[in-house]
Amino acid sequence: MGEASYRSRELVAELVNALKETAAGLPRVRIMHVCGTHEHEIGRHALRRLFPENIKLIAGPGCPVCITPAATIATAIKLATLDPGIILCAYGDVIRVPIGSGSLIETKSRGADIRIIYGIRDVARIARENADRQVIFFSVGFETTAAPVASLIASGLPQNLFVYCCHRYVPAAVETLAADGENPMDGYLLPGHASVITGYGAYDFLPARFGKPAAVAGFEPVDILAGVVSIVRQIKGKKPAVANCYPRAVSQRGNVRAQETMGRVFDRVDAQWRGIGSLPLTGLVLRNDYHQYDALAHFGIGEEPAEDILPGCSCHLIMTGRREPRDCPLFGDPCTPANPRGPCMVGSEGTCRAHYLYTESDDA
Amino acid sequence: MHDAIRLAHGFGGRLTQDLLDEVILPALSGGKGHEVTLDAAVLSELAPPVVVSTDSFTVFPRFFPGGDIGKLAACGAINDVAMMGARARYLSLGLILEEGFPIEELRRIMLSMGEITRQTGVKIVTGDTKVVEKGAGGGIYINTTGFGTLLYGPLGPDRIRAGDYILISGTIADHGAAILNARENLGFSKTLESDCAPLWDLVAVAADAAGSGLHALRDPTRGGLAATLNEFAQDTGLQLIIEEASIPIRPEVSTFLEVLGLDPLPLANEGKFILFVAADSVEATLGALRGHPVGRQAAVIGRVESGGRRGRVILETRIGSRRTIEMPLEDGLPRIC
Repeated sequence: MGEASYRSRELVAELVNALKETAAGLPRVRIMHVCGTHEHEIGRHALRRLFPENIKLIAGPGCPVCITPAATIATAIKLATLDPGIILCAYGDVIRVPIGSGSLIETKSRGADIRIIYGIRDVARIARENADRQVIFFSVGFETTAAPVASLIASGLPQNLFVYCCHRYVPAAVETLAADGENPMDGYLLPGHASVITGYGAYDFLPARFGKPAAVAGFEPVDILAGVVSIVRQIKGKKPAVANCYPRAVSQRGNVRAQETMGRVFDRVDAQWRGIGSLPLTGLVLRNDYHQYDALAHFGIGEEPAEDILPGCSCHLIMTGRREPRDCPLFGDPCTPANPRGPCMVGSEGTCRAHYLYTESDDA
Repeated sequence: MHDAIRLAHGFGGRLTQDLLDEVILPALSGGKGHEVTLDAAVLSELAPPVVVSTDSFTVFPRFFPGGDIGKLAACGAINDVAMMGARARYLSLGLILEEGFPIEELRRIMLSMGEITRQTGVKIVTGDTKVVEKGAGGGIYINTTGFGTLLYGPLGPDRIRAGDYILISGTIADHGAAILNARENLGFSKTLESDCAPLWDLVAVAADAAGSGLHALRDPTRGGLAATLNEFAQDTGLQLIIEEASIPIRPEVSTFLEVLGLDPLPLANEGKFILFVAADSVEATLGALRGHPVGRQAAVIGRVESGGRRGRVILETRIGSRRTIEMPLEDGLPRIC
C-alpha cells in the first residue's frame, strides 16, 4: 500500500539486527514512550514482535484522550446540556470516553448538539455559521493541539465562542514520571509531534538530572526503531543524552513562536491526569487576559465531580507502565472497544484499544 | 408538479400517480414514456435456480463524487446477486421519502438508477412509494431487491479450501474515503471518488477464466476488507494470510487516510469483490480480471491456510511482522493528533 522508504522492509531488518546486536548481553531494558500515536503505529506494524526478548517498550500516559480526567468529561457533558442553544465541539475520540454517568456520545444521542471537529479552524467556522448560538470548544490534548488553540485565542475569538481549556504539557509529566523511584524506566522514547513545538531541549533534564537516555522519534517503523536503537546504545555505552531521531521535523529549540504564543495565552498549573493524580505544572489554563473566552467562567460553573477509574479497571496502572493490558481483569471481557470500561480502550491511541485491535498473538 | 414532496404523494391517489408518471418512471426508463406499473410482477422469464437479495440504502451525503444513493441502490442489488454467481435480471424498488424532499433531487437519483439498470439490462418490475412526515426520515431511503438466475457455482465459504488464493478485483477504500471526505467536508482533493459500479460483467469474466477453480466471491462493502475476510475466516474455520504490500490502494486514498489516522482495511468499497480461487486457476483468473477495464488493478492479496487456533485473519505487514486483522467495530473517528 504505497511505497515509503520509512516503511522499507530492508531498513527495518537492518535496524532490528542493530537492535539485537546492541541489546545482546544486556539485562531487561524497559523503555517508556509517552505518545498515543507511537502506540498506535507500534500496534499497526506489530513492531514489538520484532524486538529482542529483553527489550520492553511500555506505553506511558501518551494518549491525550485517556488522561483527560472523568471530572473534565463530566463538566463537558454539563456544558453541552446547560441550554439547548449550546453547540459543544470536540475531537472525535473524546466523545466516546466513558465515565460513571455516561459519555459525550450518549449525551449527543439524547439530543445535545455535540459536533466532532477535525481541527481548530472547524470550531471558528461553526461559531461564525451559528452566530445566534453559543459555541463551546472542549479543547484537550498536548502541545500539538494546544499550540494552534493558543494561536486562535491570541488572534481573538468570535463573540459567541468559548473554550473549555483542558490541555496538558508533556515534558513536565515526563519529569514527574522520571522522578518516580518505585517504577524506574531505563529510557524514554519521546513524542515526535509534541516535540515539534517544545524542541527536544525541553527534555534535557532526563540525562542531566536522572541519568536517563532518551530519543525523540517520528512515527514510521524506521523512525521508532531508530529511536529504540539509540536509547539501547546509550544504555550500553552509559552515555545518556537526548538524541534527535526525528531531525526532519524536530529541532533543539522547537517552534519558538508557538512557545511564545502559548506562554502569552496559557498559565501552567498543577493538573489531574486520569487515574494518575495531580502532576505539577502540567495543566494549561487561560491567562487572565483571555478570561472572557473561558467557558467555565462565562457560564458560571465549576468542575463536576466524577470517579476517574471505574471498579476493576486498570487504566491508571497501564498508563504508568505498571500493568500490561492483558493482565487487567476486564480486558477483552467485558471491556472491549465496542463497550469500553476505561479510557485506554477508547481512543485509537489508547493502549488497551491498540492491544485489542492489533493483537500480537504469540503464534501470529 | 410541485417542487417538494408532500404527504399526499404517498397516499396512492392522483399525486402519487403524477409523481410516478412525471418523475420516477421517465427518469428510470430514460424518457420512454408511461409504463405499466404493478404492485407485483410475474418473473416468468427467470429460470431456476433463482437468486434473490435485498438491501436498503440510507447513505449520506446522497450525492458524492462517483455516484449517488440511486446508483448505489441499483449497483448494490446487482452486486449482491452477482456474488452468488448469478446475473440480476429484475429489481424491485421501495422508496421512503420525507415530506419536503426536493423533487428535483428525486429525479436525479432516479435518473442515475435508470442509467445503471439500462446499462446492465436489469428491469425494475415492481415498486412502492411512501412519504413520512418532515423530521421522521432522512430525505430519501431506498430499498432494492434483486432477482437473477444462478449461472456459476455453487459458490460460498463451504467451497473454500486450504491452499486457495485470495484475490481482489481492484483498489480498496475508495468509497469509504470519498464518503468521509464529502460528508465531513474535509476539503481534500475531489479526486477521492467512490468506486460504486455494477460488477456482473467482471464477475462473469473472472468466473469463465477460473472455471471450477472459483470457490467464493463477496463484495467488501460495509466493514470493508477487514469485515469480509473475518466473515470468511469464521465461516470456514481456516486461517487467512493477507500480504499488506499486495493490497492495491490509490495513492490519494492512502495519503488521505494517513492524514486522518484511519485504517483502510475497514473502509467500505462499492465496486470491488474478493475472490477465493484454487491455486491452479489463479493465473488465468488474474489475467482475465486485469484484461477488463474495471479490473486492471486486480491483485492476489493472500492465501488460505489450515491450522491456526481458530478462523482468523493475519496480516503480514509491509515491514515483515505479523498481526491479526480484527473484525471492525464501528466507524473510524478521526484521531486527535
